[in-house]
Amino acid sequence: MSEVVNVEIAEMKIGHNPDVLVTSALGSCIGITLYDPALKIGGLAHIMLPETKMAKEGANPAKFADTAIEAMLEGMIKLGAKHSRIEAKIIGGARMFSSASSNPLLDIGTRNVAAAKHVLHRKRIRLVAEDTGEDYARCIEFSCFSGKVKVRSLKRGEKEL
Amino acid sequence: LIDVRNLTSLQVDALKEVGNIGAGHAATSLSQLVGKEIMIKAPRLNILPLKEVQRVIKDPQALMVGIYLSLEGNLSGSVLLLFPYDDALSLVDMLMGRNVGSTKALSPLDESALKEVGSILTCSYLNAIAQLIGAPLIPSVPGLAFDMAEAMIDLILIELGEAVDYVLVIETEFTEASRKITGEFMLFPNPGSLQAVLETLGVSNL
Repeated sequence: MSEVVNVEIAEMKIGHNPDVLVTSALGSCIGITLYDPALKIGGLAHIMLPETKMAKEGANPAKFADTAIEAMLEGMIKLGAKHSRIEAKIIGGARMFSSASSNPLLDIGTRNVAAAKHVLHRKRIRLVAEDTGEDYARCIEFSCFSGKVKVRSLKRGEKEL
Repeated sequence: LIDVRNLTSLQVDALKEVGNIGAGHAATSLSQLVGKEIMIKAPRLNILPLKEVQRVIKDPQALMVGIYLSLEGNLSGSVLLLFPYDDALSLVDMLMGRNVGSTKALSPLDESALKEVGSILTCSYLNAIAQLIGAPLIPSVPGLAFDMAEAMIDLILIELGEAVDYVLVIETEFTEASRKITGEFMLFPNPGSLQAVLETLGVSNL
């Protein structure tokens, strides 16, 4: 039986085949999945902000793209996953509100996506798919059996990455 | 920085009263805009860890219209005004003097009208609070989204979550007399500005 594991905002979880890792309502936040297809081990982080340097000491690592990817990678390698096999997908990072305001917060989604890509590149992890940006919310289901990510939205229906 | 978990019951009551007065003024403004009676419920004040804030919304994955404004001045933070999508359509009908039920999708003009409603209600809410605390409060230009409300709140959590793990939200539900429009007014004060507000209310040490 596959277990559905819920990943809340600013949380990060690792699962094995046949677990399904789910996170709901990614607006400006992003979901980052890491997957080792040989061992069928996967990780999902629901991050809020680009970098830890924006936070105080002792902050929750799953809030930030850089520390979440590092912690997830470390956790998966501890379980036997191999760095060179791990592939990543990024979902979310929308600009939810249409506004004439120049408030940089409204574009935090774009910055989250850029930061995640930067960290993946630095860690030499392949980004194999993404569904990011635009103006709508996404819910995702990540299967540790197939490595596939199902993306649901109210505005654009369903797709698979 | 105030840890919102340490607020005393007296401070919580004072903040609820602030929410009540603000919401009362906002309801009066909405009533004038649509020419109908608007009722409000007693405000709810929640102090929640980040990951539970989205549960405040009754139907987090339903299609809603959200109007977002950020606040500056002596009380900084965010306001999110939420309407179920169909109720937002009814609101637009009432604003534009159309028969309720005639709008099926939001035009750009309808969206502007809703943003304007968001601004007017927020200004009424804030003006009432500003008089109470004797300092001006300034809302930003409004932003509008229609999607799952859960995913709109994440922007506010991002703003607050940079510094804190617990969030305070003052929420007021309002209903138009014929029940064609219900909505929620949510105020997320920045914990950094709460101290000053509690001081002006005379409850900073109580």
